[in-house]
Amino acid sequence: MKEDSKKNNLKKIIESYAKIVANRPFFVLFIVFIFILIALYFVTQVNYSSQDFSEMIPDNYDVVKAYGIIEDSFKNPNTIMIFLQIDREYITSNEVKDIRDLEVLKYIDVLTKYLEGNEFIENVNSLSNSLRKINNGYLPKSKYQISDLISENEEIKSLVSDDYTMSIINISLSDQYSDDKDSLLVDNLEKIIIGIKHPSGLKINVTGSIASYPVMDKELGPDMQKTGNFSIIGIFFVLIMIFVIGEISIVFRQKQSLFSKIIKIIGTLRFGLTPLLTILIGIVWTFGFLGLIKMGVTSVTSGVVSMIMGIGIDFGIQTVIRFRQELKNKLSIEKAMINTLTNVILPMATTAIAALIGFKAMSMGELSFVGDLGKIMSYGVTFCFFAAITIVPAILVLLEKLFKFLRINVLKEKND
Amino acid sequence: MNFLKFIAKYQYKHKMLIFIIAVIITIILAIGVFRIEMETDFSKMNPTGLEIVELNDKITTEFGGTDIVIILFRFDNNYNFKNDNLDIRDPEIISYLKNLEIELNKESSVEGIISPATYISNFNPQSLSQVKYILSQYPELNSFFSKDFTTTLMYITADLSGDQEKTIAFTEMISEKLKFIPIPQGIEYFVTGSAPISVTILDILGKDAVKTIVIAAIIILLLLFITERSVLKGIVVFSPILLGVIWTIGTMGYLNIKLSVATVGIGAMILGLGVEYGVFMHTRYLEEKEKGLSQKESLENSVPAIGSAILGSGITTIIGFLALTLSIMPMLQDLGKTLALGIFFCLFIAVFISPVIIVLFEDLDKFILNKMYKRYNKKISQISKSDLQ
Repeated sequence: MKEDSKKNNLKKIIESYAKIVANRPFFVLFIVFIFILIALYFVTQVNYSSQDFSEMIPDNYDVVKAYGIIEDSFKNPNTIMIFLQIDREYITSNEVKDIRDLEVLKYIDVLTKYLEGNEFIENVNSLSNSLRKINNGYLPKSKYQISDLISENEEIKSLVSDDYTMSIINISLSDQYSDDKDSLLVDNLEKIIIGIKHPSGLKINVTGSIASYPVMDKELGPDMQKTGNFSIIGIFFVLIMIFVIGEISIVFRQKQSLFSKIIKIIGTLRFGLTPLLTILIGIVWTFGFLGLIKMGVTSVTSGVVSMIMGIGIDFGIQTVIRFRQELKNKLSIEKAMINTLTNVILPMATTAIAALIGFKAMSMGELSFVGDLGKIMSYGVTFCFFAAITIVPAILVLLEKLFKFLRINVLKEKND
Repeated sequence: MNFLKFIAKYQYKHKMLIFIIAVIITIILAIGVFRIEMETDFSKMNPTGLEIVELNDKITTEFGGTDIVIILFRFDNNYNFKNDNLDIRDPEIISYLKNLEIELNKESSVEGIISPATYISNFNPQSLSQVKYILSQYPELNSFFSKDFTTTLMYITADLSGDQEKTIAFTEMISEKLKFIPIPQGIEYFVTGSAPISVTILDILGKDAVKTIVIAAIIILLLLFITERSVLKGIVVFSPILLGVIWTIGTMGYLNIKLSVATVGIGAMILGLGVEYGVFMHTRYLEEKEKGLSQKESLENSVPAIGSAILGSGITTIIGFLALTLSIMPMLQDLGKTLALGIFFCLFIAVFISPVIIVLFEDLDKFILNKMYKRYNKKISQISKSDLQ
């Protein structure tokens, strides 16, 4: 008995809410738009950054503790590299063809001096300063001498490739450098490289994991956009298949004027397109919320957009399918929506809770990435659920009214 | 629709056959679960198609491996030292580091070792002041020591190429060597660097995969017991999702898709996402039964109705996940592939196998109830007979 009364109470609450949505769609839309505007403001504050794998392990592990001690007690353990290689495109011309070329060595020497003068750089280990060390502080005077000195010293050998077409300059970073300055550091190094005239046929790049992070950060946004676009296009086609294609075949089998048929087909598009609002608004709210709680998107959680779309669209589809079924029972638009929401909110909430349990379980693991992904997915599914029971039904009611009005007036005009 | 109706008829007619085939597939794929490997090569998780990543790979190929183990030595805070003036540059410690270097250098997997002892021991210092003098002559060696001279580092490099077994063997070898050479009293050590971090992540990956699946399974099962208001019905809804998880992870094992930091949570995700298909199918079947329809009729109504609805929502979910295969991040590509596979299996099981499980559990329930009823009747008749006697 108690359980039944509880169930009835819950049903009454859902029914009251359904009445508000069905009878006051503009009011619901107004509230939704306020939240969209707030979310849009916070969306701009979401930051995108790549993630170091050591950051994923909890602090209580010895490997992480030791890393912390090294970072605290020693000079900056981070390194970056400059990679020099003979450009194969110039191989048939008169450009430099060997990294042991005196011209190349002189260039490396000048580059090393400029690098040593940079505030972020503690120490530079290049072919030129290593050769100077074993040659009484002087640069070798010929390619022959360079080759000799390289072959004698294992440490210097490790700075050039076996075929002498490549060389690396290892750079240790000073305490002035911190993780948030990776872009600035790479910019500085690139400016130094551009500023010094290099021998023709020699290609120079800044590399190493530190140099990779800014590049990856720049790629995160476009990558998310690309997967998100694919996701939304794919979902759009499935929606058209579900709501429009089947309807077209039914409409064309009916005995009606072509004009009426076209109006009906255009009308079915409202069912095909409205579910998309679930994911579009759900994503805006999710990212607005991420900005509000200052939770960034990392290289490994950047896939959430398309995942949220794939999961969240189900809520929109369920609302629209049920509304269409209710309309076929010849109910008024408002009554159809009240029935729809009363019947779909509870099952949708159950499936949303089950999904949230799965995501919550992910955050109970020790690896932070899995937890972060679970958290963002939870927010995404929750906001898509709310979008499916707010903006989607409100728009459905308004579009249905508009479509009804158009159908009556256009057909009337045609008959007149 | 007609196809799904045909499926429903077939399911009713050949329920035992379908069930046995499902069990056989599950057993085969369950074997695949044990074949799954962990991905610890972080370089394989880097984005594809970026020039800088390609350059980094080229450098690794041309200039040797970049797997590093760093051993940190420091004074143990819990040790009762007689002398307060502790200095890690002590010749005894330098000598210990040199011995450790010699021992480690015997191993073919070690490519290089650098520690303060690599240079300082060449001068064979006998006192701290001699070490200090050497350091004053070669100030760059100070970078091996912390600013307060209580900590020092040893770097060991190797080319493990992301090989799981090689990485574990390498870190174990270092631990063995550290135990083999007697360490000066009051000195403790920590091992870190890319290789030990890989091994730690490997360890956590396995634990996390099991932990997240178990937690999700228990909570979802409890939720189903509550929402279905019956343990048996909860199990009926839950068992197809469990099959979905086994099939997915088993297929990963056979297809050599490694468990990585990205895919470690897929079991929990599939459990959370796949449950809705089972819930919808079971609820609709019960609705049809409540109308007084037979098992066959209930199946013929519920499978086409729910089958078409969940196929629509399942396909959109699969598309969302497949979109990740276009990402430049290989680990997101793997995540997309495995999740799409998981949802596909859940859908397949919900439409083709779940109805069979529902009907068979119903039959089992009926059979048990009948047996209990017969036993009860038998007891009643025995009691009444004895009463009569």
